[in-house]
Amino acid sequence: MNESPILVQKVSRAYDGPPVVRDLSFAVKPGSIYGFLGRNGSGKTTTLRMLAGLIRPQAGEVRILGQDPFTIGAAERQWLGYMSEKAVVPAFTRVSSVLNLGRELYPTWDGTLADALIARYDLSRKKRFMTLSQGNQRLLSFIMAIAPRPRVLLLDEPAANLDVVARREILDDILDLIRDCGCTVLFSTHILSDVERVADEIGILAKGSLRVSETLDSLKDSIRQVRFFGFPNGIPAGDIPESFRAVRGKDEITITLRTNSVTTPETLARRWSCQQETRALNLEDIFVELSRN
Amino acid sequence: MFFLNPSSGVPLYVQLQQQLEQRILSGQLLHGAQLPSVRDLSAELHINPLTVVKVYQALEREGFVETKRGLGTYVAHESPALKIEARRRQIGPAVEQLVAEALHLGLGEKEIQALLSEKFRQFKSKS
Amino acid sequence: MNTPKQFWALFKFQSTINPFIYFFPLVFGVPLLIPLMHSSFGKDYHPSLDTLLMIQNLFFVGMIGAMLVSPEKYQFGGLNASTSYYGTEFLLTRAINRPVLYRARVTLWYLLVLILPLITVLHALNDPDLVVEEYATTVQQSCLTQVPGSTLLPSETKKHSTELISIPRGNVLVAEWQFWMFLLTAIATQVLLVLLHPIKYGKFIFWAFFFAMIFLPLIFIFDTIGKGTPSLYEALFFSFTSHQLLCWILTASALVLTQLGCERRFVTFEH
Repeated sequence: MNESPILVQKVSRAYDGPPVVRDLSFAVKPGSIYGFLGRNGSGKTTTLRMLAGLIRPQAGEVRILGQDPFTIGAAERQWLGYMSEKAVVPAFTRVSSVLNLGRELYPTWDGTLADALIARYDLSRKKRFMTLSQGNQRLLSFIMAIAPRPRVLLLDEPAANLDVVARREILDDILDLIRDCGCTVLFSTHILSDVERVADEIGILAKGSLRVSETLDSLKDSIRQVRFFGFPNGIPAGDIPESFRAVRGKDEITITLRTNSVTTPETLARRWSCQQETRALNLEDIFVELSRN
Repeated sequence: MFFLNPSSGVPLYVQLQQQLEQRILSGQLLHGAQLPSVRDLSAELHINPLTVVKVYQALEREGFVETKRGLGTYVAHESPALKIEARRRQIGPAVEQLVAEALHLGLGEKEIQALLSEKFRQFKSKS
Repeated sequence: MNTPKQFWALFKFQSTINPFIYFFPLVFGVPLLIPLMHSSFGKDYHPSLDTLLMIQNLFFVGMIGAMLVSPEKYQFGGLNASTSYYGTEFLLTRAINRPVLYRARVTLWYLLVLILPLITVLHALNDPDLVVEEYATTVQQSCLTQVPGSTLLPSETKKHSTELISIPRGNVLVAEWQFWMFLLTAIATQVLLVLLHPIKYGKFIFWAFFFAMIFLPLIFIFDTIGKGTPSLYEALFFSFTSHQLLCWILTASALVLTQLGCERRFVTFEH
């Protein structure tokens, strides 16, 4: 299957006011895990809700497995698993009723997996949804999303409200799903270490548009924080190409740099006849640097 | 078995590749030994299987391992030139850091060579 | 899963989703049962056709409709952002055909709304004949011409000789008419809920209608006290009784068309 299971093309969406998402485009490769990052209000949830078929884009289009998720019926929707960031399972419903509904609606429902997850997460079947702790509520939503063994999985902040152990377990469960079924996953999160552990591609959303969309490896390989010092003629003024952020000090300038074949710390140091000291950044550093602009 | 830090500035695949190369070069992984399957290794390390695929492919390109279809991935048989080249590459980053630091502190090549000789003497005398 | 299975699964799920949907029919259905006890008043005729016809609680059709069909749009405050009582977003993102969800909700709504009027009809079959006292001659005339089988009864005890009307199967007719009124209100509400959904302040417009429905019966009553002409209820009743078959046929068509049209609209709503 060459076509991307998750496709967003030039999508824009506003509520009452300025666009929350503007001209957004990205595609997720089959079988990969795409980590969707961004500060609060950057448009992550809006994008996910468009992909889940709850709202429509005002410009552009979204496609899940080649189709418009807003208009698909039961047969197509059984391949799309969605977990909302809110607790959306009805409050008075019992855990067992919700699981039953899953079994009745999905021909591909994996009862063994559901039972195993219920046991592992220690959820009581008799309890009503509203009496579960917030973490358990999310775990149940998660089970409802993956037990049907979907081909595309959309998770909005799956690890929110979960303790460290549960977070690792969810990530492992997601990885298992990928290994076993070749599922494609898109998940949004604040917890960057989770993304670093499992995602192979990253998208960083800021004010409704993508600042970055590439593999995590190439991102880490190419972004560097470089301190330039020892300038013979004073620090350079003006904009520096390929830099995300430049902080000027007394005799030095620290630049967060996107390196490529032409622009490297060494070439810049040579150009300015100065010395340089390079530091590799982890995802959290990169994210903060990008978000500061 | 392997120690990976996802929150480092070094990508996971680089970390895993370096550690695997190190073990092969130092003889911890014997020639002809079978490496764990992509599935098993990624499950054990709790990482994305695509990362393991990437590493195995890179190792095969560099001549460290060979993949036999349907059978698995095995450590390749010895190749002396490869070893030297690979070892040089392994120590590369440490050397670069040393040289950069030296220049920064204003120490010249001769002084660093003197320091290196001293250190080698110390290590040899210990063992 | 195929549609009947889906429908049944969703219907079962929705019916246990929230105890409040049963609370209101119980509370507001009680006044409907009071006319069932009119025979215990001790008289063998009913003092006024109007009070017999008066339905005070048509408004709960709208109340339950707003709760069941589009709660996120029409409810106030009580639903805060982090709790869901009706699971609309959850259900819409499961493997369902969206019209089937709408159908399941509407079916549950109609059942809740119509069950008490249905009980009234069944109860009326026990004691079908009605004798009612009516002084206004115009009303008497309308009644005699439009209600089949109705006749004037000579009074035995009073000076005015003609103020009692005998309506065979009268109680059943009244109960059927009330059932029909509930059904019509439900259909009209269904259309209103769907039409107002995309409008920004639709919520407020709907609840304005709702409060109008509560107060209208009272206005009608005050309006017709002392007047000699048939009240709105009586006029509606007489139209119903004189064209029963037509009414049922038209209503059934309206029901089907409304359902089809609203289903189609429902799938275009964003959540």
